[in-house]
Amino acid sequence: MALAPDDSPWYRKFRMLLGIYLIAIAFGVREYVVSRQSAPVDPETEEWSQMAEVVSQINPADADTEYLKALEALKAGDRDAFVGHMETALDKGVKHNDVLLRWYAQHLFSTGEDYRLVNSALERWRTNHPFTAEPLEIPMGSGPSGPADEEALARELERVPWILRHELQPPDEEDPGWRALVYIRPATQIDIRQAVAAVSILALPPELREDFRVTCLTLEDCRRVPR
Amino acid sequence: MFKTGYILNPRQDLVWFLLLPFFAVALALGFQAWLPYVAVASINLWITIPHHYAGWVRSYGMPDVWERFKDRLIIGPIAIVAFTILGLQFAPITLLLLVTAWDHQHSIMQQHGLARIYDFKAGAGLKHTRRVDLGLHCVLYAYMFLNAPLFRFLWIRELHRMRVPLSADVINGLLVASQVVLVGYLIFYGYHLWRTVRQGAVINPVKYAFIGASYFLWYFVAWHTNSILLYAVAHRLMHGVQYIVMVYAFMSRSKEKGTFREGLWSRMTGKGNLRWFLLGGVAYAVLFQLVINRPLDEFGFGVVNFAPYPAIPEFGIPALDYSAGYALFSQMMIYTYGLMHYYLDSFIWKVSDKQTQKGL
Repeated sequence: MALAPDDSPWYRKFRMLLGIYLIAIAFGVREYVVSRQSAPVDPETEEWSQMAEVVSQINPADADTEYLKALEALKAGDRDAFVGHMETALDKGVKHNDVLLRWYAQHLFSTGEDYRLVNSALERWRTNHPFTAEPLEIPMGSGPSGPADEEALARELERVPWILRHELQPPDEEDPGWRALVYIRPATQIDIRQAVAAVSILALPPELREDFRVTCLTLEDCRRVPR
Repeated sequence: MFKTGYILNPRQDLVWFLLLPFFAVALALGFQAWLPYVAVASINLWITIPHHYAGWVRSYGMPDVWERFKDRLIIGPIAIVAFTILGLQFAPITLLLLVTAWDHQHSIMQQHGLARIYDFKAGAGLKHTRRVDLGLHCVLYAYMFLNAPLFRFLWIRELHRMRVPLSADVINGLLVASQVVLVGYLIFYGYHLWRTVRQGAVINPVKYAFIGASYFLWYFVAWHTNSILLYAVAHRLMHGVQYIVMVYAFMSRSKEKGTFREGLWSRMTGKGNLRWFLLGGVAYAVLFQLVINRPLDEFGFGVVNFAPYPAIPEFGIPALDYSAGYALFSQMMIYTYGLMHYYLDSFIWKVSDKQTQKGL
């Protein structure tokens, strides 16, 4: 587009902006109207599944296609396929997909994989996306029974060097158990056993918590030790 | 038939316009292999944001440019900010598409503009070569955007999110059509070159080497990766560095020739002033990062990080979150600047000193 002469009327001087924003307004109005009439297209919807199907035909070898297939497998309740697709994507050296890296780490942890694998997956997620605001969920079963439990839990979680902050999530429709949402400090070495040990403080009777703490050798093998 | 012309000179063109794309691809491959994804944010801070700053200096820092385009330089940003706020509130997908589409158009136009300089300097091409070249850029870039796996995923996903679902058959048809258009346009372009020579005009081969190098970068990173990291690093490096080089070369030549009134730009150019121009770019990036409240750690390519503040249970000190850590950093800055002031004043104000006495 040639430069409009200096003495041009205003609409010629601004024709670039006018052209671009007229098109954008047309798109925007459509988006606004459609978004008011129906829910957004997200991974839970049928439209998303259709998109995943189309992408898997057009881009069969792409890492993001494996990610889409993993989400579809999860929706269908096929955990093995979910892990399979995630691992195929990871084998391709994917680094950019924050959600993929996080969900894979979360999945390894939730399914009780070896803590070294969980640590490695968490490190991969956090090294590539150190400033992401998404938490890791740590299941706590019946959870705290009162303020004293909550205080003990907070004290233990604050002692874990790689945990930036945490929140407690009570049972809801999605999950019948309590969960601790832990936010991870950037550029720190993660050892998931420390977080599991911290939440396991609730397994100790309140009167022992001053003198004992919990330490975990694996994700299952946790024991009390003197402070 | 052939006549060479250069944007800067043969040596500098070789470095900044012909070899830089290959260097950028090699560097991006290294990033992909050895650095975490956060390195993309680092490239953004070291290259992309400073290239915006170079654009500010070129537009707002040159009094003649400011006076000539005053209304566009005032009203344009206001309109863009207003529409961005509206977009974020009412049509976020459209806003994302607008930013993405304009970014791609801008990338095409920069390479087209630089190619035009090659023809301008060599006095090459016919009157309408400008339009034929623009067509070539649009066709080559659109072909990549439609066909490269990296981009296909993005536009198919966004069309579905906009509730414009395309079937795999329709998309395959579109891809075949784009291939036909590409081949057709390349034949037409060959015909245009033939006509150029037939009509006695010259061709600048350096322009085609430049276009070839640029599209090598784009095509290589769009087809040979599973990650947008490679594309983001290589493209931003080429686009940002070439823009900064071009702005500085333009300002330097303008100063030498005295073609523009002096202003902020002229204080940053000339012998020994390049460092101030570059330092200004980095300072702008730091300021930008602080204003948008993003961590300065993003300058560090995921390798250098500000030390976080873990808990010190022995003293009952809990771990600091990022904002508290940053507040501590700010307090350190306040203390440090105070201490530096005390230190400097301890020796620059000695009344007994002869040098000081001269200024009294």
